[in-house]
Amino acid sequence: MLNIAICDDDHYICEKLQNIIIEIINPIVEKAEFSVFYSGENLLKYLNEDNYFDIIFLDIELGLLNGVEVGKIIREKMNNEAVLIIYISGKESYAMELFDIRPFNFLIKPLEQQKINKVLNQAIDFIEKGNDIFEYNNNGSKYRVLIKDILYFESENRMVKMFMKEEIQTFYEKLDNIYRKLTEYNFLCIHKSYLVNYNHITTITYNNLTMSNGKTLDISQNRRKKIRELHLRFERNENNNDIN
Amino acid sequence: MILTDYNLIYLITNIFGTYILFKFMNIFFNRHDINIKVEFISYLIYFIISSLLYLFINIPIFTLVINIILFLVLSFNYSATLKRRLIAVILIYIIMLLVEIIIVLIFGFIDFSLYSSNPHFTSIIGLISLKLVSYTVVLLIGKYRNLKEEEEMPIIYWFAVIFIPIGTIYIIILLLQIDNINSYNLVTGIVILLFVNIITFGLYDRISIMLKKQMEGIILKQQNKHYLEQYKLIKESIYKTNAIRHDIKKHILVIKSLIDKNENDRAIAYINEITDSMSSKNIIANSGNIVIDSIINYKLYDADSKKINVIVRLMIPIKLNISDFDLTVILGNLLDNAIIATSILKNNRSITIQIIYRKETLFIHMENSFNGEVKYSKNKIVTSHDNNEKHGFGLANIKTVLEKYDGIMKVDYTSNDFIVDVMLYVKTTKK
Repeated sequence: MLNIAICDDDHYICEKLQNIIIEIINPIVEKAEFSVFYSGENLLKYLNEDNYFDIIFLDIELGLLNGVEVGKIIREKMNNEAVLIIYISGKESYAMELFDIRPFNFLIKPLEQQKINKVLNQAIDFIEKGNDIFEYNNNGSKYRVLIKDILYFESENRMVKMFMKEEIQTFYEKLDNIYRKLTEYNFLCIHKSYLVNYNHITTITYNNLTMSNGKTLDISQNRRKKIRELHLRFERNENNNDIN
Repeated sequence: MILTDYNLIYLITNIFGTYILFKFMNIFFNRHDINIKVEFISYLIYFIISSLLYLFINIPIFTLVINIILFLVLSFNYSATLKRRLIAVILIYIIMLLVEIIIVLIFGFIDFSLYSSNPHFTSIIGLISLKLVSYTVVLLIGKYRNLKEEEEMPIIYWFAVIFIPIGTIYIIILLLQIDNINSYNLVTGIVILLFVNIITFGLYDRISIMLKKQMEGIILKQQNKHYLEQYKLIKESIYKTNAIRHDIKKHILVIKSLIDKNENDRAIAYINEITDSMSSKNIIANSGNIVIDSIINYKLYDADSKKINVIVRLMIPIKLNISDFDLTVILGNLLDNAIIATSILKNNRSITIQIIYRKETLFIHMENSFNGEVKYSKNKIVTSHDNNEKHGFGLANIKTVLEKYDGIMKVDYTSNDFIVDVMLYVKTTKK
């Protein structure tokens, strides 16, 4: 089920957006739930009560607590890297701090159905891919986790540590096997002991990268060029769907 | 101590040697906060001490130790970490020592006394050769370092670096073979030759710097043009918006009356007219990032009249942590190539620009329709226009800038589309 939140102090925008979204996702999604908020504080309060969204449409020019601050709290205080934030703005200019929140995309007012269609479809594809399952064995039992919750794998001798947002799972497996299982999911093998989920990378340079849990990992020297190319390829693929 | 030919020449070569040491130091250290007067005096003192040491106390170990200490002291002219200082001093000393050993070995094999009646011939040639070879080595190392940064060295430079010092040695040998040559003439001759060496290469450096500045000047001029155009566009836009604002009451009344009369279609048409007149077709890029907006708007302002279909998508912050200059070089060149390629086409001209900032990386994606012909020259793609200088120096310059940011460029093409992807790492400006 798709959980969507819309947060804008303009009631009209909220209504219009919701209608457009319903029209777009009707043929594609089985079930969806909408939550509408007219202020950032309300959205945050709701999130604090352990509620969950796949996508949040967030107005930048909100009232007391503006969209940027709301985004910051969601990413940093609540440590939520997974939720897709799509910013709605009346302007086309964005300050650098907006990019620290790693929004999925921007929508510019006045809202156009075509643009929302494109962005929404991209978002849904992204979410569906992330909701795929990764299976592993531990002590004879089979376990399953959502791929989008995996930050990275670290291998230690014959064991593999799987780092997730709140927990670390350790089990017997070879990093190569995991990489093979996850080939279509944008994982990067940055080091012979590290396999990293591209979607959980917050910043990256030629030499190292930082994950959404703050951990910085080194890219091994002989892999740097290859990783850089893969990085470009991943982005190209994501962005190509944008243009056409 | 008699001022023999030998000692006099030693002093002269030691001046040259001090100069070489100075050049050597400047390869390892940068010249921020340098006090030129202090620097000059310190090298002067070095010259005096090392000359005195050589002429009066000729104990090798002593000389070695004092020299290293002197080098270290000289290194304090420049700001650097202790580690860097030690490494630089040791490296310089070792390299100079190696050159000396090699020269001594060579002289061991060749018996120069056959060539001249001057009793000090061998030692004089030895001294001068030593210094000239050291000079060559320093020049080579210096230019090797520059290569890694940006400069492209023409082959003739390498030729000159080897040929001129060796030629100098040859001529000095000739001078020394002249029987009964006047000491002053000899010394003057040697000084002149050494001078020619220094001036030749010094001149080369000056000219390269001049050329570089010239190039920068050209690009800055271009950039200023972009800014000016952008400023004009913005002014125009503000003017139009102000005009509308003045009339807004009037406009609202018109719309209200149309809606009252239930003529909603006319009302919508009226509103569209207003929004149309507010926007300017000339502002294609409006991301707020002045550098990027101005380049795109400037270069594509007449895209409409040239019948080029332009799609621009910008997801970038207002200020990026990359120098305006570098951004201008990259974007300017990419756009120039795209524009030229599409201008050749008769129809179906289109340019797509997408610039996205994500995960502290900047991605520039440029696509343009073209006629399917890609010319290669020495494994590099050659643009289809001749005047490289006017148009911003091409793909090679993009690569030079990209190296600064560990970036890459990928080129792809089908029979109809030419695609360039550029990626560079740009850190966020943290407050």
